[in-house]
Formats: sequence, structure tokens, C-alpha cells
Amino acid sequence: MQKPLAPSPAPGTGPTPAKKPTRRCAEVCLELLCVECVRLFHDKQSGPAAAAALEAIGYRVGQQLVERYTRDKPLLGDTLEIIKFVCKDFWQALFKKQVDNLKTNHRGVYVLQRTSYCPPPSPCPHPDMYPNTPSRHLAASRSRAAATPFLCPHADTYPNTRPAPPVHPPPRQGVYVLQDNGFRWLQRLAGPPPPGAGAGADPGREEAARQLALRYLHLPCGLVRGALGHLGVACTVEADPKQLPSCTFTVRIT
Amino acid sequence: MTIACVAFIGPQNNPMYLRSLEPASDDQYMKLHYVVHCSLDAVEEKVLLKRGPGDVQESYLGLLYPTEDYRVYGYLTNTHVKIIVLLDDEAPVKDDLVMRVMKRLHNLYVDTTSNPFHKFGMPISSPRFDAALESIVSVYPRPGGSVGGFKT
Amino acid sequence: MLRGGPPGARNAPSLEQINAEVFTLTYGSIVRQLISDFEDIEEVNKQLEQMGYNMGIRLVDEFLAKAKITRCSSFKDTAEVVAKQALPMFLNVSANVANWSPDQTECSLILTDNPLADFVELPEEHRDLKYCNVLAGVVRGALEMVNMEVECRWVGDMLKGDDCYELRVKLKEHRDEKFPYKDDD
Repeated sequence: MQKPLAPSPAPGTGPTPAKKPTRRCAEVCLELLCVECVRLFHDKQSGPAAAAALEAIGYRVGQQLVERYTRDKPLLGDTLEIIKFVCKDFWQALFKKQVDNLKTNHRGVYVLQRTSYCPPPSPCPHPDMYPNTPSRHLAASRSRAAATPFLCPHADTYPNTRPAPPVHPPPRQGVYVLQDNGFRWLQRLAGPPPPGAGAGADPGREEAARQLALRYLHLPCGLVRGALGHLGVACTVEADPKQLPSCTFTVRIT
Repeated sequence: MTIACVAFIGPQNNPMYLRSLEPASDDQYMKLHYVVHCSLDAVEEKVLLKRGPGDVQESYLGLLYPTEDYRVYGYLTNTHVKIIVLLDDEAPVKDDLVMRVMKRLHNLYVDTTSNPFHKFGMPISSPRFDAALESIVSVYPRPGGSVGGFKT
Repeated sequence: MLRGGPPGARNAPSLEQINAEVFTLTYGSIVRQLISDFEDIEEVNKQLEQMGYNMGIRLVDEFLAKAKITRCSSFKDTAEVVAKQALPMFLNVSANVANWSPDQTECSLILTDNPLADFVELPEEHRDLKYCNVLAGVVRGALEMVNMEVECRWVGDMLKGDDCYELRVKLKEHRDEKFPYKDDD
């Protein structure tokens, strides 16, 4: 027995619409959701398919967030302004910090890097500490497949009714690299060094941590690609966890 | 203020939603589509014109142009969605009033895109959206009452 | 004695907060992706519940660390803690506990405000989807960590036109002898 879905009340139909307070929730909810999401898709699908699914999840959220975050902003101008918006407002809203360093190769390469250290959020056990995690999830994957930029077309391709002349200047070709030295979503993976570790940390352990981190970066890559794409900058986004929790995101304009 | 028609056009100039606020025949819908379609050129012109160094371009574009039957107002979002409103009024309408309506329409659109089942770029097909839009425009009732209708 | 006090977020020591829309939208996108990848809605419901279960077993640690609950008591008290302390702590909403069975082994957690469902408009073709099933899993997982084996099922869903979200929670087994949080002897 179906009841008709009741339409929600219209936003602000009165003369002065009241602004709803922004809803908040505990950050650990999002952390655990992402952890379990990564686990679920890697359980059910092969590496590249799982990576593509996670990227697609992020892509949609990126599109939706950018609708929300740009709603009350004046119109952004060229590609540089859009990239800066992602580095500042978007990053701040999502990761509680701005990107630290934006570099370009002057052909439109943007490197975003975050240098100021962001203290780790409330301790949340990451899969390495889960007693019931099957060991295959913790084994270092030697595959570099996860590092491949994803060119998956998003599910909702625009039907072509009439080619739109550009309203904004067309984006410059090139590569942009965003570096974040304290990427929030990787904080829980950047645990303290094991006791007895000297100045030269164990490269094997570092590589394992890096491979694990890559799994958690498909979603954020999708977020950035979705956000930029939805603002008119079609691109691919590839993450490279340099040294946890530092991470670079390479944006290649397509 | 008498709203005759509300339209949402996507980034590829694809029509996503067009609603006539008074009963309209197929021919009349075609005409509305045509007016809205033509207004897209005016949107582009307005945005390109204003973009001087140091200029800040707001989303609300104001009156694009008057036609024989309507005054056409435009609004452009950062995600390249165009909101077009056709007013029936003979007398000029306060810009503030139109801007307020378009802001509400924009808010409605943003909330609709936050639905996980929303498909970007596709026509908007949502009873909640229809009802909410009705609420927004019904604050400014048409003389003789409005029935309205929706056709892609 | 369970730590009592006024219900709601006021009494809950605060965890680091974020704007809920990222959480809401990410969850929604996960649901959407699951539907696309699995197609079978019952399988999607199952995956959401399992995901919630895994989250629930870990959320308990966070909760117990902050809430300073000194003893796990009855199923009745536990249900109240979930509704009036845990939900406010994590989601800034509270629920009511109602509709108890005569033998006190089954009750309903009732929410009218659910952040997971913000902006959601369930399409007709997905009417069998239990959109909020992750919550059912979270409750099951969390209670399992305090030695209560429960079954959860949705009997009310505002996305389907009902007046509230009603999660029916049925106690299957309460393993008293394995209290992890005994008072010091």
C-alpha cells in the first residue's frame, strides 16, 4: 500500500525567508561511513572496479556540494578563479582547512598543497586496528591501478539539444597539482611511528601505508573532479599520498 | 507581479523544466519554449558584457529584454544553470521582488539537486519540486486564479 | 546505575562536529552507487545494514569513551541511552522509545528528524528500498558490543509517507554473564 510522498514545504515562501541553522553531526560518523564504504566496495568488486565505484560516489557528492557551496556566491570567472575556489572555500568547508600550496606549470597545471598542520580529529580506529578485519584487506596491494586517473564518464551525460557557446572563457589546458600536507581524511591512517623506528622509517611499512591510503583517496578525488567538472572545468584528478598525512592532487584539464 | 512562466535550463542549454503558470495549449507551450530559448543568448551577452577587470558578476541578471507579451528575467548559477522567469505585467516590477523570487527558485533547485536520486542534466521530474515551485509563485497570485501546467 | 540527566545533545560531551550535509550527501551517493552496482534492492538493503553493523561496533567505543556510562543495564535502559544520549551525540537528534511489548523484549525507536533523509525524495521504482537501513545496522552492531543480540526492522518510514521513522528493535539474547563493564568488585 503506497501513500503519496508528501512534498516538503517550499523554502522561504514568506516575504523574509528565515535562514535554517546548518545541521551538524559528529565527524566520526563521516569517517566511519567512508571507511566502511571503502571496505564494502573492495570486498565486492575487483580493485579497479572498486576504485571506479568510489570515485563515482565522490563525483556525485562533489557536484551536489558545489551547487550548495556556490549558491550564495557571485559568479566565478576563469579556470584559475574556479581552482582557487576549490582550494579555499571548498577545501575549507570539506576538510576544515584551505589547501596549502597551489602550483602551476603556467600551462594550467595547478598543484594544491596544504602545509599547515591540522590536528587529527577524535581518535577513530582505522582498519589496521580492527580485530576482525580479514588480513587480505590489510595486505599491501602492489597494484598501481589505484593511481590511474579515472576518466569514467559520469552517469548523467547531458543530452545535446544545442551546443552551448561558452559563457565563461574556455579552461586552459594543462595540469594543476594541489598539495595538502595535512589531509584530514588521511589523518587517522597517519599513525605514530612504531617504537624503535629511527630517523629512517621502514620503507616497506611506508609503502604499505601509502597503498592503503590510496584506497581512501578515490572518494576525495571524485569529490574534486565532480566539483570542478560541475563548475565547467572538465578534468581528471589523481591523488598521491606523498608522506602521510601529506597528499597531492593532480588536476589535469581535459 | 504576475509570473507567466518559470524555466530551468541546464549547462548544455538543455531544457530541464518549464512551467506555465496559466493554462496553456501546445502552441502556447511552443511559444514559451521559444521565448526562453531565445533568452539564453541574452544571458550570455549580459554575462560577457559585465565581465570587466575587478567586476563582480552576480547571479541575478535582471531584465534581459521585453518581448511583445512578456518581460524576460534571467539568473545564472555558478554551475551554469539558467533560471528564466517571464512576467506578464505591463507596469514595471521592482527588481528586488523578482530577485527574491529567483533566489527562492535557486534555493529550491539546489535542494532538489541534493536528492541522491537527482540526475544532473536530465529534466526535473519531481512532485516535490512541482509543489514547492507552486508555493513560491503562488505568493504572487494571478488575477482569476492560476491552474498552470507543466510540459517538457 | 546508568548515568542519567537531561536528554539530548546538551548533556552529551561534544565530539568534533562537521556540517551534516557532507555526511548526508555521501550516504546518499553510496546508496545510489549500491543500487547501480547491485540492482537487486533487497541486496542493497542488506549491504546498507551490514555497513551500519560494522559502523555500530566501532561507534560504541566512541560513545562509551565520551558518555561515561558505568554499567550496561537492562535492555530498557539501553534503548533509552541509544535514543536520548547516543543519537544526540552522533547526529544531534533524539528519538523516543515507545510501543513496548508486554514482556519488555521489543520496542520502537521513533525519530521524526533524520539527517540521513535530508533532501531525499524516494522514487516510486525504489519503494522497496529501506533507505535508512544503515541505522538498523548501527543499532544492531552497537548493541551486540554490549552483549545484546537484537533484530531490527523498519515499520515506519517518512520517505514513504509515514509520520515518523520507526525502528522496531527486538531483543533475542542478552548475554548477562559477559558484562564488559562491571563495577569494581
